[in-house]
Amino acid sequence: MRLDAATLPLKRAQGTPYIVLVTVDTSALGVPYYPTNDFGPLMKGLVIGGLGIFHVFLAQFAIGGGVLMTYFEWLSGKGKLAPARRFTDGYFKLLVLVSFVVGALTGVGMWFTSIQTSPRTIGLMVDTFHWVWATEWTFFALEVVAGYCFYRYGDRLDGRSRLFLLGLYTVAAWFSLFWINGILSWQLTPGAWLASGDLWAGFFNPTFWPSLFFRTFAAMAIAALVAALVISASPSLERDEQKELLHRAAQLLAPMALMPLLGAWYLFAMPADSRSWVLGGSPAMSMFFGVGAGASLLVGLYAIFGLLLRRLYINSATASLLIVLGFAASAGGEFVREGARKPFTVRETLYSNAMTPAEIVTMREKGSVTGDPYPLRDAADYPNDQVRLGAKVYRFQCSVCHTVGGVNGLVHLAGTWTAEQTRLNVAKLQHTKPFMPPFAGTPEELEALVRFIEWEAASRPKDFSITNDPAELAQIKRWLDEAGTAPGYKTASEKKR
Amino acid sequence: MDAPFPFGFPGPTAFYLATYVLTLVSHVVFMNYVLAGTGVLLVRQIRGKAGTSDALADLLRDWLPFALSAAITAGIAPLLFIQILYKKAFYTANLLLFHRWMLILPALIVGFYLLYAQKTAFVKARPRLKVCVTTGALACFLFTALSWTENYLLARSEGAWAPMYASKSMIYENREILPRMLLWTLGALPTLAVLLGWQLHRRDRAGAPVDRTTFQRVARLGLGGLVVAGACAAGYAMLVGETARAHAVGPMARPWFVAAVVGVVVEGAGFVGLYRAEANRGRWLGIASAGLFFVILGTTVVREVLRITAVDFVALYPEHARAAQVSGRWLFLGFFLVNAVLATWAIRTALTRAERKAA
Ligand code: HEM
Repeated sequence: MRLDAATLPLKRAQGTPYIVLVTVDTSALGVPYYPTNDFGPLMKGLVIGGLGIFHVFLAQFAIGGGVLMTYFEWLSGKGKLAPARRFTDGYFKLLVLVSFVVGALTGVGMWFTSIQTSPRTIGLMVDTFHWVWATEWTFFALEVVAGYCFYRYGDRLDGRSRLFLLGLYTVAAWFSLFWINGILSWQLTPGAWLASGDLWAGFFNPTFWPSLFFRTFAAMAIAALVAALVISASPSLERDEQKELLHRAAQLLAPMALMPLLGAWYLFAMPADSRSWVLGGSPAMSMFFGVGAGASLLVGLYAIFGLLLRRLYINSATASLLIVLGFAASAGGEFVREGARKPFTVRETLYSNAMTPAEIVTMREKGSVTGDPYPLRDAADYPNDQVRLGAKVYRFQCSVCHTVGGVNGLVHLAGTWTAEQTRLNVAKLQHTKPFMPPFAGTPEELEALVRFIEWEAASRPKDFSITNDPAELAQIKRWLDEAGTAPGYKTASEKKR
Repeated sequence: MDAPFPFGFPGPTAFYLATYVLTLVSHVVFMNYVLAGTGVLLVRQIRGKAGTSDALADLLRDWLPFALSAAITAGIAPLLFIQILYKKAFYTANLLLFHRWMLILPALIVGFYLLYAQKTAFVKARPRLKVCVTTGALACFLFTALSWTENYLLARSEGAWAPMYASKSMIYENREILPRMLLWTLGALPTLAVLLGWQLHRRDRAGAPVDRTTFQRVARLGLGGLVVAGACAAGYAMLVGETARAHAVGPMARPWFVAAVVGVVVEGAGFVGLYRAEANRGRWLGIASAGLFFVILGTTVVREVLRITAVDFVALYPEHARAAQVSGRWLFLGFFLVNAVLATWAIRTALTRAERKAA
């Protein structure tokens, strides 16, 4: 019987450095092998990151939109904002058309994409948090019901009923964020869950609150920016009405002033190594961080000085530009969130390439692809068994973050290294770059991977020799032993020790 | 595994199975409305005369976008539990179908917008365009149904995984797929008829009279649906082989199989009553709904039994047991109840307040 490691004990003994997700059964390693798809020149992380940004932007629009409309409805009830109702009805239609349709489906899309990129990670998340997820679903369903009731009947309802439906919609939408935020932030900072396996310790983890506040304010900002576009483009509103609505909408941008503080809180709650990638350690991640922070800053400055303090009118072009900046800010933030977890998808539990720390130890002995039931596609294209083995190792251990010749391609990264350099750097992978996991195979597999990279770098020649020098394999073994199987940075438990 | 479903399994497995089936039932109800509703709308548009009003087509056009939203929302819950019950198989089928599988999402987005486009004056005024738009939407939903069917069958067939991966094909070839999808599509007609019947009944009672022929049309749709779906089910049973047939009426599935058959009879009686009724249509619709509930629940369970008996299900028990260790189910149950009350309150507010004002 093979056990899916992603579903194995979620509790661990106090003080054990790594969660033991695997019981090794008699037949194989206990590792669930999945068919690996090739995304061509695109990195898998880019695919999920790309869809994630889109989804997060729309989901935040849905939440912030609820806050904005509830606020407007309340103002309208108090007689403080006469054109509010006309605007709200139009704005809500836009929200339903964009967010209920594309937002909801990109949400399902996130799930499907997560399965495509790392089935084991999503499996672990589902196992750990399925009741939280199911709870989130009850809020999502409530959001849809309240939203549709308002959409269909809002224009025939009295003020109190409208406010009730909008309020219900908003609360439900925000609670969806609340639950999902706990699961996503757990991936980066599982906190005390690592030691106790306690669900709530994992849910209310160190980055939970900064991330929740940050996302809430981002949602309000996005909704305000979209509102600015709708208001300025609305032909049925007089200029004075537009100004009044714009000023009120801009009030939702005010909490952006707190974002730098929240950002700092989030950064300091992150593990030190993750923080170091963001703050210069990894050029790509630092760049995304810069884009996110820069775009937020620009939007925030314009909002506070232009819209709130000087009460400037904003035309559709400027509003559109601000939305683009808002999107860039979300994009930067999401890439940082996805990237900062490296080398893990769930900190200290599951590596980016879907192996547990404990499995790496076993695979060093038994090989990582020995039990992989999926054959190579186009196996005949490879010149010999060694390169075929290397291709399988690449597929299993590297392909989640690298391509061969495309984005973050191994040929670009390692194609010019000498054979010895490649052997050393792969054997000590987690020290070559600490955002990579330790190599998880035998010396033979490592040598095969090196030959695979060389073969690809040499433009896939027909004839390619096999290397099997025992001295080289012994050297690889020594390097692997020196590198150990712990991650390249110091874990919290190691530091304590 | 000789006890009736879901008994005879260890506690956690039985619990997740029951939760899965119940959540899937709610998905099936709304999904049926979308699948059959779009098909019926298309037929009515093709056969309809310009300038004449069609209560059924109007109703469908009005409610299909919401039904799709509800089908998606209701689909998320079983999507969660299937990952606990059959994690590896479900993920593997997703991965093997790859882009073909992911295409469901753009297909549903396009289908959604086409349903909204139906509501615009621009499309309403152009009969040919209207037909094209509905055809497009129907194609999107049929494709989605096909994909789920393919995914379900592939997930059940571990032996097909490695060869399919090697072949690079993103299409799972299995002779059961098309007949099975046809069965789902035809089986959706009686569900649609019951739901449409209630919508018309409500309209009628709210002071917008609906003529008898419209109710009769709905009853005919339901009865016709039962007959063609029944014939299709019989044909499909021939195709699936003796073992699967035996399991469908074996000890685990038998009570549910019987419940489904009884449900068909009750539902049929409800439709006949609705066809004949001059008044009291709510009673006949109630009878048809009770029958429908047993049909959907019964067939959903039989469907599950066929999967349970096709895979090494016992090997999955430890996974279910481990998943059951995590906390949070009371949290879910509590919020499920609270949010169900709030959702009902929202619907009541919308219906009662809006109508009072309109009146
Ligand atoms: C109009 C859109 C949809 C249609 C027409 C549709 C149709 C179907 C059909 C025909 C099946 C049964 C497959 C079989 O037994 O052969 C099914 C199952 C299912 N659907 Fe849907 N579906 C739709 C949208 C969705 C969405 C968006 C989700 C997820 C959010 C979803 C979740 C599910 C799940 C979880 C199952 C059970 C799969 C299994 O047991 O293997 N569906 N759907």
